[in-house]
Amino acid sequence: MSPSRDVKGSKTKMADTANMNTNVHEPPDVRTEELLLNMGPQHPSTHGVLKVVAKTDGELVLECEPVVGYLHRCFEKCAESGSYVQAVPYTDRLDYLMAMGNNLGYCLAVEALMKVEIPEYADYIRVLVTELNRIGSHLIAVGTFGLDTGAITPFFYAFRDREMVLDILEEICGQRLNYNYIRPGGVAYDLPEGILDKISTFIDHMEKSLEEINNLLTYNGIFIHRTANVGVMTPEVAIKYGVTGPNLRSTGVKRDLRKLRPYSIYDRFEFNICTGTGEYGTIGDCWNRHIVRTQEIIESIKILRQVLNAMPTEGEHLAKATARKFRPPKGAAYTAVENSKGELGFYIASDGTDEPWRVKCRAPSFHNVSVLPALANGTMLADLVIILGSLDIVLGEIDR
Amino acid sequence: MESSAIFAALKTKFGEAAIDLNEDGPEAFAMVPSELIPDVCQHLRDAPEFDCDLFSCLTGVDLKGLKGETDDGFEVIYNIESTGKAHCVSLRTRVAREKPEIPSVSSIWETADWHERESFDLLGIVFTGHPNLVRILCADDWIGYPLRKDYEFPTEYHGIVCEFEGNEDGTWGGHPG
Repeated sequence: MSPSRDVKGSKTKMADTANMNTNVHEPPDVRTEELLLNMGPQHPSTHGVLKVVAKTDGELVLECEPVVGYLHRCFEKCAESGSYVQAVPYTDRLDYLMAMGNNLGYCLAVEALMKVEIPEYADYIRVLVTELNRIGSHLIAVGTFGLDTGAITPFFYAFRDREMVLDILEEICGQRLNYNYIRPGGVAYDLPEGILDKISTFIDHMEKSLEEINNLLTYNGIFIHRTANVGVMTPEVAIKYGVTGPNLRSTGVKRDLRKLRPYSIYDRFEFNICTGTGEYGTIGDCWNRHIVRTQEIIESIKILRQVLNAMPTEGEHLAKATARKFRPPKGAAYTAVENSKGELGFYIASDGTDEPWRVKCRAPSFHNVSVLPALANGTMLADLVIILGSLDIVLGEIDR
Repeated sequence: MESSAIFAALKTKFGEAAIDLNEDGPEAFAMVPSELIPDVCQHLRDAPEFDCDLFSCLTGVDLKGLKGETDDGFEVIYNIESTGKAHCVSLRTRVAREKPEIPSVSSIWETADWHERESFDLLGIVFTGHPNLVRILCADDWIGYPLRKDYEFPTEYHGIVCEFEGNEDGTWGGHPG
């Protein structure tokens, strides 16, 4: 199925009108001038308060430009104005679908300056909650992407399963979205009793459920027609625009920071780096971006199983040496982790006091959305929505 | 390549005096004069032994008031990576507060375009040669550069009044006890 993309020259007069009746009033010429179209900032398909200004010719997008900043609250200024620990809740609100990953990225950056030893037990808890959260985040991506293509049912399946993740995380730290759980030096609380069994039950369920979602959505003929060969991104374009995470891997580049520069205790676990398969469409298109996310759910389940097997039954969840106020020695460093959207980096400069001198957040979605014009220029307007959905952006971390 | 080898190669190419190394801190970096930034970056991207294709991060830091710092200008940090060779490079440069101008590297990496706009928006660092240096996160009519240490918080914006005038000690942050 490939609809004619040649919209230019579609100004066809009805050839037969002249022969039928000369008295019939001829319709005025179809207007063919370019139209500047504002999609958003209040538009359901933009996944948040994103505005896309598209110059269109009929249904064709000639040029488009994402306009960001509607959700800006200057996270970096907020982080400078308080102590190191006080900035942790602000990081929750960056990529609010993967708050554990944000907590982890920020805390690792602080710890890199402090050179704190993390108790092994705390490291296991960190990986446990982060991978659970990654599953939740990818489920949202998969579900809402289906919604963009008109598939409503898989969305409910995805949200039903994500609800289980949220229930587990709520039991661990009392919050469903903004956890403030991982702290410099470890995690805030010990795991509640019996939670490991619940996680174990969940991942068994998730494996079966993912098959269901794949049957409903991933290998659905309509979905494949709608997403395969749409918005093809080459590795060169992806890297040029700083695209990372599943979007980069869908183009065939095997780059996962958990393998490349293993942080926390990720070097202890066996898992694969999922890349675009090209089973349908072209490597780097919307369908391949989708399949990478579904595959990564499987890999996260693999990691979770290993964590559950290897995890010590008890231990310290917060380093004893952790003072209430952190005073990292003067210096600065950039530390990055693999979040569900891509490389989440924090550049933290310390002046030796308990407040950071500068915190810069390198947000993956900020880069992932900047590639939009390169993918969407020249496509149909309806494809622009699909491409945007396939990039899985979160405005909380774009606008910061 | 190890970062020390990269820095050694840069020194050979651009001269001993141009590249000032600092390998003591938590992150090894090369201090480069701002006018040399585009040349060094172009070389890092194009030379096959470096192959730095991924521009990870650009950070601007206001140095005004930083303890033990005589400079009151800005420091800009470039974190660059090679996806093929899996090595990272960190470059830093400094510009004066009165004339915070650095040649843009947005023609070398497309990502730098938005990063430089952000640094311009929040710190007022001007990247010369940038194709579209306008605010990106703040509103177009925003006054001042919020991440500057001498930034004064607005008391009013389009009729929205901000009644909080800061803490008694002149700070804006919150510190319970």
